[in-house]
Amino acid sequence: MSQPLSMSGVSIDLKLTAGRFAVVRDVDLSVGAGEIVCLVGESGSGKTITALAAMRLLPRVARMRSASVVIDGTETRDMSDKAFGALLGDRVSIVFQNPMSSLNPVLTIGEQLCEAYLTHKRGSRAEAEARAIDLLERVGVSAAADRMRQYPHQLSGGLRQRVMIALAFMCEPALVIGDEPTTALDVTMQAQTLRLLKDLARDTGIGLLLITHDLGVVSRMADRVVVMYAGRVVEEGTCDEIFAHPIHPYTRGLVDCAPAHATSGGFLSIPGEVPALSANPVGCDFRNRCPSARADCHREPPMRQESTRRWRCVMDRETAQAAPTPARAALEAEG
Amino acid sequence: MKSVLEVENVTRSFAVRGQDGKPKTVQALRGVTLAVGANESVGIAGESGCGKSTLAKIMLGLDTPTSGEVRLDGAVLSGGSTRAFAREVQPIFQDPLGSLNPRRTVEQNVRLPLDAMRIGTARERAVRALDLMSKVGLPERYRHTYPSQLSGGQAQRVAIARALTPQPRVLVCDEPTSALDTSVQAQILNLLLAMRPETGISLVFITHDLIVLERMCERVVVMYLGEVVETGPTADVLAAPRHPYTRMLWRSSLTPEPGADLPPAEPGNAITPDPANIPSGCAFRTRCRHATDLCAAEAPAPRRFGNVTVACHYAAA
Repeated sequence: MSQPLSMSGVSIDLKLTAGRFAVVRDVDLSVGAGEIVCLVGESGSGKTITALAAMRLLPRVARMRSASVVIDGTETRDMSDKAFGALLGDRVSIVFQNPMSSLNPVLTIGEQLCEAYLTHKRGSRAEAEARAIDLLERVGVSAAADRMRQYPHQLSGGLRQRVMIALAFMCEPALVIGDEPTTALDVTMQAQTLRLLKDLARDTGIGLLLITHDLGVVSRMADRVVVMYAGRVVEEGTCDEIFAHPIHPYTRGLVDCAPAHATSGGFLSIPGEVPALSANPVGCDFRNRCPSARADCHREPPMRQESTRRWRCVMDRETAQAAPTPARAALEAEG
Repeated sequence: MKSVLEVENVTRSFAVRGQDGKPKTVQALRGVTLAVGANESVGIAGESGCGKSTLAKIMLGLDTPTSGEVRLDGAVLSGGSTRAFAREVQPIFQDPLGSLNPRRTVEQNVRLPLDAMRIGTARERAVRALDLMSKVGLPERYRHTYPSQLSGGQAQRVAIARALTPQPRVLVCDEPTSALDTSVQAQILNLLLAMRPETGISLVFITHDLIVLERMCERVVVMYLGEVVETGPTADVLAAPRHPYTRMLWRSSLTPEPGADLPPAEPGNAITPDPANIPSGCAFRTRCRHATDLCAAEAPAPRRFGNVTVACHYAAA
């Protein structure tokens, strides 16, 4: 079985009136069959735009420099938009945060689910309907046959998102991308929807790339975690490695920041802010917030690798893990 | 403890039109009673449609209850007293950029309540605005900056400074950090925590995030479909939630624990019923795995277990 997604050397520029800005630089990202990979980062880290690039859904102002994007074993770099369009929805599909902006308000749920299937698969309407009802039931939509005749506005936000998930799995794609798919839902609905998504990915062997900023979600979903900061991958590892033994100072700070890790002294935070976009940033992007920053951080940090881990830092594993985390360094500085 | 802000038996209903075009009534609040003590931090938790934002508006004097009353230091809020009330009870909203005036500078935004309520001289207002800007971590160079040039975290700092300018007794924060990144959320929550001992202010903290609430609030009020289902000291309530809805919320709060599983599937679609068509008896029974005939027939009266009050027929000590 081929790998659902393998992107390498992805760099994306934004061309705005104020000039050209590098928003994603040299990102490598892969998702294996049946694997759940969480792409983590704060707003502006480039996680969403990286996923959009994989699907050729970049906004007009964005340009991807020639990079390799292999979807389900097919290199798409030199593919025409028409040929790529045949892959979209069939081999790869996406679930966005807001289901209302992705569902067609004037088509019934059933029409939309069946359309996706009939566009890409050779099958009858009856087969499409049977598959739609089966998927709706699997994502926990009760009275699925009745729901097929309803319009999106007749469903609650939580149900609409489940319909979106069913839609994404309709053609048995190799890869499903979820861009904050549960962020807009209530906490109980979020937990339920994540469970469905996880079970569905496990049962079908479909690769799932989950984009989120919520470490609570990541810890319960991910097989592997990729952390982005200011447009670059700064660390990658298994879920356990990232949470229990983070290496990069930013990852260590991010793990500290979870409200559950608050101390009697208050919530832990990373001091400072993400650097502003620039055309050609040089050196480590995290150095202005890093307690371990030193002179050679102005040079490009190397991407280090040890079996399943990689991290972009001048420090080796032992040095990085022995250093104070940004949040704890800040607490000590305050006394 | 003496209460600063009290809400007593407040109801609020809205007339709306249903999908079929027929008029119907949404009961957003159905008899809510709560009191906020001096320098106390009270958290209000619940999901969309539970009435928490309607309650926030009523506590801020921005909306009028259908019945029941709101009291500040024992004085009932009425139409004529809203200006004095606004000075004592100030808001912080979820969307920091949307709650600032985009055509005013940071300093003008911060001093707006003083200008609007004509508190002090122009010079005193400017001094107070700058003082608060520095307290919330905004250097003086941001004075003449416009909100569109600020990050979300900075904008929320401006909103906090603005809320503090008239020296209010109570801050009502409606999901103040849900639009912010985790590391920025921590900075804003710390700011809110830090100013409590200094100002003696009371906090009403509205959130869907029980993990944040646990660290921010001494007391918690859990709401479901316009009613308080469980309330008490946060530590007591969360150590052993007695209401099945509180348990469901708490289970669904995902702390970062690698290897931990997701909560088990809930019965049905786990959907909150239409607030215009609230189930008979206990409103939560349609989502409750322990519901019986009694729950459909009779609304559970609130019962006390030590410091905790729970509205469930089957709550046990």
